[in-house]
Amino acid sequence: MLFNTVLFWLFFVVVWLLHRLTPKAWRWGVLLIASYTFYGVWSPPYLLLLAVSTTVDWWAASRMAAADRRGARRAWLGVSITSNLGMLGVFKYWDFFNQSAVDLFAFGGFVWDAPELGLLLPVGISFYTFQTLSYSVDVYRGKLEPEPNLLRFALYVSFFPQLVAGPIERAGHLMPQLRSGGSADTAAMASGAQRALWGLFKKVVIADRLALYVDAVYTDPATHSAPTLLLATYAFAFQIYADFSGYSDIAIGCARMLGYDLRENFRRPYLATSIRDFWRRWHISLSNWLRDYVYIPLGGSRHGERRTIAALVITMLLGGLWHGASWTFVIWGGLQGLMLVGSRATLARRDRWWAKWGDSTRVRDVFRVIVTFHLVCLSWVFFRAESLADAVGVLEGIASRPGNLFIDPHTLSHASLGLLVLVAVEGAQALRASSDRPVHVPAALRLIGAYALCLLVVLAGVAGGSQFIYFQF
Amino acid sequence: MKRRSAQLAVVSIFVLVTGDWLVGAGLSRLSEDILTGERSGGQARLAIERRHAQIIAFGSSRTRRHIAPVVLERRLSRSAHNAGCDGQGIAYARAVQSLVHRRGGRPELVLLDLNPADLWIDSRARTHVLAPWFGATPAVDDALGASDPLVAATLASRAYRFNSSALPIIRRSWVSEPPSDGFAPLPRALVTTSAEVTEASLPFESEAFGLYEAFVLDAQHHGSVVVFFISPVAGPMNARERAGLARLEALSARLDVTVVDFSSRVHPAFSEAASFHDRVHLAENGALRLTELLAETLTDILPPAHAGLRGAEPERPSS
Repeated sequence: MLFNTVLFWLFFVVVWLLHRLTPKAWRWGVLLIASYTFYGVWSPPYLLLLAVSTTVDWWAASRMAAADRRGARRAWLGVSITSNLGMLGVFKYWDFFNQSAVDLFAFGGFVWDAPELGLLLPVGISFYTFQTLSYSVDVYRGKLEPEPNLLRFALYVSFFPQLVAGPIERAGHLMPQLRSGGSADTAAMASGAQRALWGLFKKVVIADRLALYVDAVYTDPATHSAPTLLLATYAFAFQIYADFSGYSDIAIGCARMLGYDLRENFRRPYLATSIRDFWRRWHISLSNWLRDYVYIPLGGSRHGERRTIAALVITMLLGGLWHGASWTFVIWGGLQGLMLVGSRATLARRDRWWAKWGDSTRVRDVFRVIVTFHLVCLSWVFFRAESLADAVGVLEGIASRPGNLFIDPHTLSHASLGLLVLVAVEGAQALRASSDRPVHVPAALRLIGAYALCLLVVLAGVAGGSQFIYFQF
Repeated sequence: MKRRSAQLAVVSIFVLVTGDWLVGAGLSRLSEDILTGERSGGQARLAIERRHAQIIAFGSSRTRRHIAPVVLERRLSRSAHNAGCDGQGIAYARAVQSLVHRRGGRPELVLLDLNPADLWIDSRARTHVLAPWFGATPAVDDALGASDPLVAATLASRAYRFNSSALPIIRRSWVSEPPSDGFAPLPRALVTTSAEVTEASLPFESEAFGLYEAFVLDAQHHGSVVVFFISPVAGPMNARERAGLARLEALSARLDVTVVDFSSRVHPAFSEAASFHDRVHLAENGALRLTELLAETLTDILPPAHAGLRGAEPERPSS
């Protein structure tokens, strides 16, 4: 059930009404049934997987909390980690590593004949396993009391607005809200509806429209010229941002209409002034997760420069692999890691260079935003390309294949309209965030804006309910 | 508080519904005079305007780019119109045909491009351009997939019927272009013929056969002679095209419809790359030659024409 379909919104209205009519103490029950229905519509058999993951983590965390010895606690944490990573390994990575081993052996002149599983990737598995892992680790670290009620914990794992593509929640933030039963007042309702509408706009007017152009070019990059490949790469940068942040906006908006607060996942990432800043603004819930559960345990920045570099690169490589079982994602993650290391290593020198030019903070920031955006776009080539060979082909084409620019006026005029609105709204948000004085937007203006967004969704959105990019992760 | 929320909800719904109706009505009015452009629905509107033409050619870009009505008019002494549309297939042709019939069009001869691509590309995938005619005929509703209650629910929105066509409509209302006879020839540009060979992957979309059959039966019911034509491709057909065409030819034989085959396998006139724009589209010279050859065959099928061309000029809408 996709957020950009009529079916989802009918489902949401029914859930919202039932949630509203149910006493607060039992609202989590309504949401649990709704969440399992939401996931079950996609694939009933994989509900079992979700339930098994939930039960194992709940059980392991309960035992962990009850254990006196540190060894026992560690063993129960091992059970949780093994079950989560085992599931990911079997359903997401088995065929990838298997094929890589086959290729490696073939390269050495040997034959490796391991069975290929060919399993359908359960939607959202990377998101909910990370969410449950964080719960287990937090209980192990003593930061969190285990949830005594298995079914309520099941809702924490499966809460439908963020189940399949985040934001990746933390139990310390979401569980207390689920226990107390959400309640939204009129202002929260209006704000949630507005946020969901904004997300829907980003998805159907910008992301899905740009996808038509990007797909046409990236499906067969060898036949396109440098200007076309360049435009498609820029288009993809905005497509993936509008697609993923659009999903997060709808998730946050829907949860808010039900009376629950989800974590922010994006903060105008293409205004980042460095790669480090980019990761503070892009997929915030994942980068925080990787920081807390991978980077810091690896030593973080506390053990000297070499260890920091290693921790950064390993964290980003794992982050890349988290996105998908393919070498293109590993290289994407590796590139991000190297760029973070490069950014860190040259920061002092760059600051000294800028200092020579006097007080030119604004010029420096604009320059840094442009450079960071282009570095991110470079890495997006690996993220989007169908294969490593295609990614290299795109970069080669950009560097060496002059020619005419392929333009689809219908697609690009619709997408440009959407992008104009996006830039205007996010620009205004950035100004408002940097302003000292609170800016009051009159209710009438907000209503007119919301109605204009509705119209754009209806008139300029791509109909048909295409899947969100991050569902494949 | 609850009462105020309920009032707010009712007012919001009222504003949304009224706004939807107003925007839909405005776009409907604006589009009435737009008779060009496949994205604006202009070509469908033009076909309805030209419904009294004695010969109407339906189909995809391989009709729009290949059939020159002016040649048919000269050779057959009958008014002719090209109702082909880029990117569309048999579902669109069937729906536009039903709209022509509904408005009283009774063509003497109906031409249809026998397009094997209809068998592996969902011909309903791009028919949303017909949404402004939702509810007009069962064929239009079928093309829009309105048997699905969720689709029908979305089409209840009058504004949504102009989804993706509003911008082209607004643009064309500012920059008006003269309506044509539907023919849009392509320049000569073919470089290679080997790029698009695909595998003979099956199964085919079985619904396409039903649409072809419905097209023929409806045309015959309205007194039209139906002739299928097969456009050539540059170079050899691939296995899938051959298999698809064989199935469509078998259907034509069953329906007793004449098929004029211009594919290069049987027609030497199109064996040269110089006739083509790309692998599946003829350039202007090739298109004119194809229409000449088609007209030659049609002289044997059609009875001698009465004097004067009926329905040659576009008619303005009566309401």
